Amino acid sequence: MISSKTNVDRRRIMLLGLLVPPTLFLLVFFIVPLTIMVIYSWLEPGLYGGVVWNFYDLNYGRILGWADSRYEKFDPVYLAIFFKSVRLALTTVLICLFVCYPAAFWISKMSDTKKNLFLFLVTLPFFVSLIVRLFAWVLILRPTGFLNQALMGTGLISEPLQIIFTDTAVIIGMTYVFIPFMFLPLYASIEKLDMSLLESSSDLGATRLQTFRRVILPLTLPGIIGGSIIVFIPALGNFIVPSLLGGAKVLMIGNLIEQQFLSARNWPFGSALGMIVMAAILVLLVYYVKMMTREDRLARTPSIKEVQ
Amino acid sequence: MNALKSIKIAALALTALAATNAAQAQEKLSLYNWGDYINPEVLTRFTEETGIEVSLDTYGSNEEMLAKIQAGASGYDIVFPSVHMHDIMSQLDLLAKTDIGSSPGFDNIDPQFVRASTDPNAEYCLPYAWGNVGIVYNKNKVDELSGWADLFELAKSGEKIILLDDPRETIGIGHILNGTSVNSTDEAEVVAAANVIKDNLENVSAFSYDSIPLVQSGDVAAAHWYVGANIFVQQNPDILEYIIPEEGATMYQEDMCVLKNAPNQANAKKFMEFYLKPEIAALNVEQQMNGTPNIPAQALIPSEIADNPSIYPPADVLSKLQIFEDLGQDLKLYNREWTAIKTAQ
Amino acid sequence: MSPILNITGATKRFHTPDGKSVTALDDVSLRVEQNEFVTLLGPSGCGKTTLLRAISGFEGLESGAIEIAGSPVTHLPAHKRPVNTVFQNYALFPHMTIAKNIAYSLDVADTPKKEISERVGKMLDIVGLAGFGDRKINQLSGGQRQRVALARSLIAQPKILLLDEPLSALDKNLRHKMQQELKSLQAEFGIAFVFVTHDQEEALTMSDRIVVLSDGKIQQHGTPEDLYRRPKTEFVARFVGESNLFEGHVVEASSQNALVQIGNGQKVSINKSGLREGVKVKLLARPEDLSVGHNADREGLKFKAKIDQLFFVGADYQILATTHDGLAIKATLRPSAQSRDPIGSPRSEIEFFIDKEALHVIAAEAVHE
Repeated sequence: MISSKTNVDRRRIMLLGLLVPPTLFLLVFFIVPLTIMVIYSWLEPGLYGGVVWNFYDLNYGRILGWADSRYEKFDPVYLAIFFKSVRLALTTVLICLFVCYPAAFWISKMSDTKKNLFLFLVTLPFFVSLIVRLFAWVLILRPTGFLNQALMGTGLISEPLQIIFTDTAVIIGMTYVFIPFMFLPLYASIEKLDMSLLESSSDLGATRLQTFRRVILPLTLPGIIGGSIIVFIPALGNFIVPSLLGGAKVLMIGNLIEQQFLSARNWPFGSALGMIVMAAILVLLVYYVKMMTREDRLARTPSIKEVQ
Repeated sequence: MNALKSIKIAALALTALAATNAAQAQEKLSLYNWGDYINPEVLTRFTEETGIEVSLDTYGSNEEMLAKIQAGASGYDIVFPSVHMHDIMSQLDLLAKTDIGSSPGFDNIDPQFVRASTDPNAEYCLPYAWGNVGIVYNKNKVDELSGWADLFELAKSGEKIILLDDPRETIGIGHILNGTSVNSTDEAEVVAAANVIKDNLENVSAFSYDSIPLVQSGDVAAAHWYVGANIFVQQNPDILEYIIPEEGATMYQEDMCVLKNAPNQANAKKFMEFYLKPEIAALNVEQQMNGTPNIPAQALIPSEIADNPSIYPPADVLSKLQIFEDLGQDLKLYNREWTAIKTAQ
Repeated sequence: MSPILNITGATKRFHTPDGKSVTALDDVSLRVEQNEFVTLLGPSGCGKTTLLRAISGFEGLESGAIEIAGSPVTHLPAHKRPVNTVFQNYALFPHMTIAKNIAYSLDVADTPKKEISERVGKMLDIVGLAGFGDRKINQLSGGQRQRVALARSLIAQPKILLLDEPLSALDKNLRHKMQQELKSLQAEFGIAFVFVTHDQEEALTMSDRIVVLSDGKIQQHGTPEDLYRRPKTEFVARFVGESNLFEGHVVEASSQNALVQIGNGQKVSINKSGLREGVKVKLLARPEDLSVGHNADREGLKFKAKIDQLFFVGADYQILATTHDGLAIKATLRPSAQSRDPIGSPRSEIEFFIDKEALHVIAAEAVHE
């Protein structure tokens, strides 16, 4: 009895020891900054940055519609920028998916040595500064750059393509930056895929397309969704790519927020914009969780349903 | 000032520092400067002379520097705010009193450069450098360019141009073309100035600080840039040219200030006094190709810099250069219009 | 009536990464009749799984042809062949319920929903999983998964059911139970089963016919009794059942009989025709063919031996012994109903007798290692 009790105590202490550091970490690096942001977004901006401790709802009013004064005026442009950012981020997600999905399949079927080599190659860009890599893209995409020279050299085009400083350049840049983030979760779920299930499906009369839709897709869905979320969230808030490859003419919500802190000296407005982005992402995640649990419930109902 | 260059310059400074005597490494000085805004040679000379180890961090805008200092960035001794930011920082009580104005070498400084209204006797900061913001262009793309109107005409004709990604500089072009002050807080005037940019927006390919390589390669015909473009003009005299637009332009001046919570106040003062020496100020100009308020230094500068009217303009051009002042709340007008410009396409 | 499965001259080689090639199927021809339970038996690497995969369509052939129910399927992709497979690991779809798993082949064929639900319900009844339809796969035991896999393969009414070592993951008791269930399912559905295993006991228990494969070649095929009593090669003799093999040569041959002398000099007359004098042979005796003591009325082989190991396995004793001239002997002895005394003990001496009628001759030309 006594020894079992001390065992329980010891395990409790161990558990506490394991839980305290991550809790503290989350508290210091996640909860505290988040709380600061929430509070700041409801405060008056200080004249030279910082905040004045007065309740102030015009930061949100500027975005959502009730502010109307000389300095704080509602402008639908902020929401327009937000939706444009969503569109660019979603496009990035889709392109990453279309590039990574077949690539992950291809690599998962290689020998172990080759697999490791390719996984290493996928993570290789992380060893070089992002800024340097994006400047390299400026050199590639500009009118006299490698891409246009190559295309003109092969006679495919006669005039250089105007890609740099457009939405297309931003999407190319973001796709490039986020491909490893999409690839790794996708690869993890595709590598786990039991190839005998594909044979089994084909044995039971399914065509390749049916096998893809009914077996491969649902089984790799966690990787697809995981990768998409991991790409979508930072793509939505990205400001480096639009400012370098979009020539700051392509304005994303991340640029707008950065501008509030680093040039407009309006921290509360920047916080409010950040909160709007975060709220949108939370809604998306909640919807995803709900959808997943509903699917799980559906799978438990006794009726035989056609999954389309 | 771009980040890549900041990294490069930091690396240069570090190599320079690595070469100095490590035995004296306990004495330190930490600079927080604009990217690419000091000759690394100056830092090497300072370390050689005093044994004080210098470290350099960089920022891209006054607001970025202020935000980081306000947010609690500590450990920096010297910052380089523009004059209006010097005023703001004085009001926010962020600067240390150095009495640099009473230092023996301060007679070298042209008194008209002691501009900050909060620091009329240079009790806090030392005028560091000044310059103008004009146009750099590719001579293969356009024969001659004399001003802002020409720049927009060039864009209309189908050539590409780049403007700075800075609300006040870029809306400032509109003010200059409209004949209004770049420090105007009149809403109608600000909107009108912004409209000048909006009207020309489809001919502006980007807002960027990183335009020089693109001008040089001919991808872009001309760009709104700082007087420091002369560095590149000197390297490629057949391709590049830098001008102060005939309609007028903005000018800037940065002051060297010691932070109130600087850990190495004494070393910071030593650096300021070191920089008062004409040969040091001249050494900096030689690489930076900008203006110095140090009068005896101007005699030591190579003649191609001293005689370059785009760096040291004649009095009539100088009189057309406007310097930014702090606008307080009214900065919001500019930010609002800036967002409107960015989303007008 | 034509056979349900007719394979002629199937040949397949695999290429290893280091440039060598391995012959997995070497001119294999096989016929399987409607309603037959055929087992492909052999050690790993013998080609049995390759043969099964060639039938299901997952492996192409280099040469040869496959016909199912009279129509050629050699170049038909797997999903168009009227056969279904029960995989070794069952390959059930983990993201679907049991009912959805079973319904899969009907779903992909766009069968009306009402019909699907009726047929799935019936199938669940047959495999004893009624009421389990909405469970997830990970909620099932090994035996239940096995039944789901069977139900899923049988629901599409294949012409042939292919089974790839489906019982190997089950424990012994469950395996015996499933063996019986498989046999009764086959009777119920009246279709041919082609069953792959490396377990000779399982093959003997279940099959109408066994095909023994080695090195991509069919060594012998026949009924379980054929293979056990009359193996054509030493390989088959050793692979199917336990065996005692005695090397010898024919010293005298007549039209009906042959006198064979084995290594230790004993001679025995075997009732077998067609053996020439001087030919090397091996004599096979199964462990249960050995008895203790000498019956003077009968002709046969006798060995004095020392017991090395003795196992009591309920009905029988299994004995491993070494004869005085060094031959290893395996014997399964059943004590008589009258005497329940132990047959012997390790290190004790024992005398074995093998009746000449129990000996089976494997001719030298068929003897190979």
